[in-house]
Amino acid sequence: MIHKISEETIKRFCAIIQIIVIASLAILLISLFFRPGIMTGVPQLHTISDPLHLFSHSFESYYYLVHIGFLLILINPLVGLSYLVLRAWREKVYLCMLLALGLILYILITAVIAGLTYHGAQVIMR
Amino acid sequence: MIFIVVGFFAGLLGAITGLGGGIIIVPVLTIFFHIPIHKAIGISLVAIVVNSSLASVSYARKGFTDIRLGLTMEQSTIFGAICGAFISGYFNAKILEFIFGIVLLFAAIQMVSSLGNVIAEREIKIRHLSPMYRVKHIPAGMILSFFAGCFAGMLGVGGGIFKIPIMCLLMGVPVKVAVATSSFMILLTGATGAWIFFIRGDVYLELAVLLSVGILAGSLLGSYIGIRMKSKWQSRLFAIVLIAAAIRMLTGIK
Repeated sequence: MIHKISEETIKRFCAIIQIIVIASLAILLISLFFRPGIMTGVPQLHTISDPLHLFSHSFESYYYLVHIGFLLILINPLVGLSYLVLRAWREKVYLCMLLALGLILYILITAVIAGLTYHGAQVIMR
Repeated sequence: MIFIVVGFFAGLLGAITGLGGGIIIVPVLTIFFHIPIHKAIGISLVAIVVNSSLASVSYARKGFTDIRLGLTMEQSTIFGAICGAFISGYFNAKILEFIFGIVLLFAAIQMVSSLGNVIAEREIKIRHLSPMYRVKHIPAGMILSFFAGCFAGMLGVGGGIFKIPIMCLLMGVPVKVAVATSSFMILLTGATGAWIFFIRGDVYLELAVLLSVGILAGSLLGSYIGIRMKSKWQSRLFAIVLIAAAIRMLTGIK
């Protein structure tokens, strides 16, 4: 009976995590060139936390690039864990598979609950 | 540019010690850049995810990460991080920081006094992907790990400050394996916390980008140094970082 995930799986898991992080950082760096205020040299850090404000100033490309890069960072662990689940299933390391699957569900449910709570609170405030 | 430098040093220290860098990023952003603590925590969590992604990959490739232990411990840690991130807005930050400072001092004393001697004996038993150690007290470790996750989600730190002592002192895991496994766990804990802060609108994406870029370089160098550094020195460095963090917490951030 196999008790542990194989070395090859761990190496591939590492590669996936690394590729996604580097890709996301590359996107985020590119996004800085589309940053509002970079042409005039005026930093506008306060505008970043307000997506609607950015939209109103037609900074869609910056907004989308930053969010794509950022979301890539956040989904990175989910992608890595999903790969672990698949490989653990193939290698019949069922305990690890279940543990990884549990963590994916934890993170997804949390994101949904956080979203619902936030939007619910906004609706109540209106 | 200054944020990239801050990120670099946070990444360097975070990767060497397995802390994740949050303990450096949050006070620096709050004290020197006057960013509200909730936003600083959000930024810190994003930077922590980037930092631990690279550090954990480096450690895992060398065979130091105990993936199975990490996945087991994360079951309770993530639940703690969720609770911590949700209630962070309702708790008095000053009281929490005080308690946190006391706990950090306690952990630092523990690391220097007893662990330093134990580590040297266990280090020789580490082998590539088949570490010769037996993990003890898993249920107790998971319960304590819940609280580690809670603090991680609440204060924007990786939680390594708790997880490493728990794994080393309670569960009998060698310090290098504990640091590597903690780094892997921080990746998941940080991402969960970051989701909540992001959805709540508590993340300055631009600062997170700049810090992450600095952390990329710092983390790569840190994990290179961390693997080659003797465990005795690693635990001493870890203790110094804990004391510094404790002073920061006890004196308060304003």
